[in-house]
Amino acid sequence: MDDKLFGINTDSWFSNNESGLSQSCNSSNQVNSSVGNSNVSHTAGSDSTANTGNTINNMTNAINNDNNSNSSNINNNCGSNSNSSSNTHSHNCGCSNSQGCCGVEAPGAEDMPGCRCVGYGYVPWQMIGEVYKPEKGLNEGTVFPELALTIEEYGKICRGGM
Amino acid sequence: MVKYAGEVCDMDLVSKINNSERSVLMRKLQSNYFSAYDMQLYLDTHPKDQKAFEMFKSLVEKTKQLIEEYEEKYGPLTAWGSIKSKTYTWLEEPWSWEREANE
Repeated sequence: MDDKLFGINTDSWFSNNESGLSQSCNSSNQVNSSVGNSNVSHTAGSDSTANTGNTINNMTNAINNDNNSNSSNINNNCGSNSNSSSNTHSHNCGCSNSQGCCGVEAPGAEDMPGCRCVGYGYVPWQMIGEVYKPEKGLNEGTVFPELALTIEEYGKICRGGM
Repeated sequence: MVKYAGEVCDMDLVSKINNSERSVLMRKLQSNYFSAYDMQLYLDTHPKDQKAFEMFKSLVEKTKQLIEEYEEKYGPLTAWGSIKSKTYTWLEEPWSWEREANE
């Protein structure tokens, strides 16, 4: 029996301008209007600190890394969106280095996706695909197959070892 | 409405744990409750994901049905569940987490 409950092509979910991927990597690091969408607004409370705003930018960059083939465009333009209407944001980012979005690039961070700056956490954005049936989910500890990993597996995946 | 194929319980997996009708039903309830909660966590960070919300609704509805079924057959799962009875049946053993209820 197939353990997957739903098979969903996630590509189409994030292929339009409602995808919430528009970028706003301004140098002030403030949470701004471009993060008021479905994919990032949850992390951006109205009282968010500047660091929160930057983290959101990091996260949206990560999304773009996942969804766009032209990664150089992302790195050089604070994750400019390939969608037609979002490019205007990419020129207002105030990037201060080649990676954009924030100040000092972490040493040895060349292989890291998204913003690679000192002091900023990076969490790849989850995009739902298939989910386990309830029995399998309970057994695995999650209904999301992409999260059903041992710590050993997780480390290998992050290092590209699997 | 999203088709919910998970309504078919993985009986092979359940049977490895225990086989009584009561415990099978409990396991099915736990599975659906867990899945609904996991989907809730996803929705907390993806509130406009409509497909996930459809899955969540499906899982919650199924879980509520299973709670109804369990309580009808075996008594309340919580003290509040006893309001369906004529008397306060919550103190009647075994409680759902006790061994006797899961053999």
